Amino acid sequence: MSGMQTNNRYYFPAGYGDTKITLLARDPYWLFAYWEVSENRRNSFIREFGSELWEKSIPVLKLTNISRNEIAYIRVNDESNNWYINVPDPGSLYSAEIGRLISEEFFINLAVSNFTATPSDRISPDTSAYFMDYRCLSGKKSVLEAGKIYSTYESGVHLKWATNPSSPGVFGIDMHELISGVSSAGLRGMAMDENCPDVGSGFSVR
Amino acid sequence: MYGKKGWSIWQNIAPIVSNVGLSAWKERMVHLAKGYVTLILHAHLPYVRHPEHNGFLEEKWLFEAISETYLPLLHTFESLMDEGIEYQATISLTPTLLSMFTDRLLQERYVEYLEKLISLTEKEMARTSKQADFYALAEMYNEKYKNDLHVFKNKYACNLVTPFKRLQDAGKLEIIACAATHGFIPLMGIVPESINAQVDIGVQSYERFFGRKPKGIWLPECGYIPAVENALKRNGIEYFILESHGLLFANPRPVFGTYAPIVTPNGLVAFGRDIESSKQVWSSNEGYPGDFDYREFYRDIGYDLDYDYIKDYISPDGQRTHTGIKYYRITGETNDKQPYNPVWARNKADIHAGNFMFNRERQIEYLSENMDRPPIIVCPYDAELFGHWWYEGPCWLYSLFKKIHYDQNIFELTTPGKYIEENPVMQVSSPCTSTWGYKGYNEVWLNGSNDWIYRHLHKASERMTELANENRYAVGIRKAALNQAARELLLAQSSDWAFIMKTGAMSQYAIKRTQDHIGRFTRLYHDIKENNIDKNWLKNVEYMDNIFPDIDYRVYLSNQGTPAKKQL
Repeated sequence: MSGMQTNNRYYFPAGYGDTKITLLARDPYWLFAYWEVSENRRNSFIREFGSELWEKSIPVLKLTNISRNEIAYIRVNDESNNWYINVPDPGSLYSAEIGRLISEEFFINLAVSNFTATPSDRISPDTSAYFMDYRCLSGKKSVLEAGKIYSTYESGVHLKWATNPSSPGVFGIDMHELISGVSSAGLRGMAMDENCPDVGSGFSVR
Repeated sequence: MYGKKGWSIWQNIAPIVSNVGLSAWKERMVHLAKGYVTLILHAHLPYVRHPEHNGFLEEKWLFEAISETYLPLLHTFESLMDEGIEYQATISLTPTLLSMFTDRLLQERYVEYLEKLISLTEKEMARTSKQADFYALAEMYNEKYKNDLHVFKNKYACNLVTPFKRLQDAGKLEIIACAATHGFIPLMGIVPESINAQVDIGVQSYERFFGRKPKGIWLPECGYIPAVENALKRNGIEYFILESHGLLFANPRPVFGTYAPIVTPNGLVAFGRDIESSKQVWSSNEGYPGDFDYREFYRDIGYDLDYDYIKDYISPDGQRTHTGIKYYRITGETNDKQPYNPVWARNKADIHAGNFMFNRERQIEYLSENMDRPPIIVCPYDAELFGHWWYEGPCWLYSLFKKIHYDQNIFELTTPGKYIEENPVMQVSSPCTSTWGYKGYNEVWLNGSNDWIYRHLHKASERMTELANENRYAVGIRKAALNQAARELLLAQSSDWAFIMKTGAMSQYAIKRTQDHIGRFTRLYHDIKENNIDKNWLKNVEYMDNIFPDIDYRVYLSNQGTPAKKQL
């Protein structure tokens, strides 16, 4: 069968005819939204409210921080279909709507996104500690067999915890260094880091 | 054995390390280790099988990795075992890599690749016959590639799964599973069925190749989101590995940092990468691989020699590529590179192994005084760092394991699976969403160069579940088309494509792969919906993208409990 081909050159469609918005968290401070508003949805808006309202209204993203019950409007444009959104609150739950802002008080949505949470960027302030046999939690062992759930303090451990999450951190680890330095060491091919995208061997770009 | 003539980086390591500290080894019989180190290698390449024609540049990624990483690692592990060295290591072999290891076409092409390289090294021995330094190196490569060919064909019968399985069965390696095509899970949460499929098929592949259930899994790019836990749990996975802050930022605060695993409320154990030891190996500035005595990766005869001389050994389209034959050492921050000296390099690997061990000893001594349980230092690395990037990496590993066995009694090597068996009580805490990419979250796989792929990947994922739900009991050609649609979606989801788009080099290939798989998927979707499947075209696509021969598209069904039993 050598030499068989599918004889097709494929192209991505410009759209799927959906009216839809999806929200993704890039990191603790950035969200990414992509959307599509179908021609049908646009036409039904115009039928309902008139073309003037479409033209004079502003395309916006309405972003809701559900954890804090806060709302923000982000002005986008009619040509855009995606947007990066800078957000101030790590560890918060968000949703977004794409729609038209008619006035400060009047927003008509076209599509509502999924919920997404920004990750944390720091050590948890919650210092409660309880321990368990992992097999009980995974259902491989009965809780009765496992004995008591005990706290760290009972077991007599004295740990060097910093009260300030930024320094000096867990066992003296500098948290700033962790985020700015070592995490970047996780980039693949780090032995060569910035030189990594080598021109000669595609394998090297991994 | 590599390099019978004394120029191999392997020779004579044993005398350097094995006679030292024999008494320490005896002493350890009466001492309990104060802690543990677990070395985890993540071996992965995307599925780059191209039956269309021979000489596909991307297939060379696999061949280079076999010669530079996988065979040297097997040689390391097998030599240690033959010498009676006690060691434990963990390795993830991804389903795409395992599928390529067992693919007849790629096995044949690897043999051809080696034969061609051997002819090049012979040519090189003639060319350098009057340059002693270079001649010895040409001869070293000639020996190496001839040995690779012999080992691959005669010892392993062209199938690299067998020796890895043998090492696991002998209790030396703990092989862990990975997602089907190394899909980037943190950006898949929008269609949970896709996460299930990546994990289910990853685990099914593992069972097919290794004849047992995996205890642990390597989450692609260490990408963790809470939603992945459901898929792990339903597959009986016990543990996974996180980047350091995935554990350090867990909630509640883990009292032992990365030095003990935590268990999530779902009963899954999470280990966190140790910061100190990863820096020593990964970092280009502070890490070992940048040492001036080590082999220079970027000076390759594929670039250095006259075009007419080398043209038959580089890309068929004339583009210069690496050949694997590299004559220089890093030398320093200079373009005036000096010839590679394998003896110096080998000695440096040995010194670095000693340094790594010394640092772990001090780390564990300190930690063990502050903890009520033995600390574990988790050291995960890309397997391809060892040998491909850092040529002496496998040699370093060999030396390290041998030193750990003979020269110290502070810590022992273990695997995550063994550690949790011996230390099952752990803090309950929920890990933080994280990856091991630059800046620690999703930016490498979600940025201006690649963000446009997600609307297509998500749409295809939704459509796949829609197809599965509508066709629960498909048979014949319809079933074949549904299975192929699942393969195309999985192949499109490889995190490698987004990564390559970000790095720039070879991005056209990554774009084309995404385009082709989404394109084939979309055609299948419409053909199935319209009940208009082109049998010949489907046959061709099955031939092109032949991964997961026993896939069952129903893995994409909504609202599943435990994974459906495979129906062949």
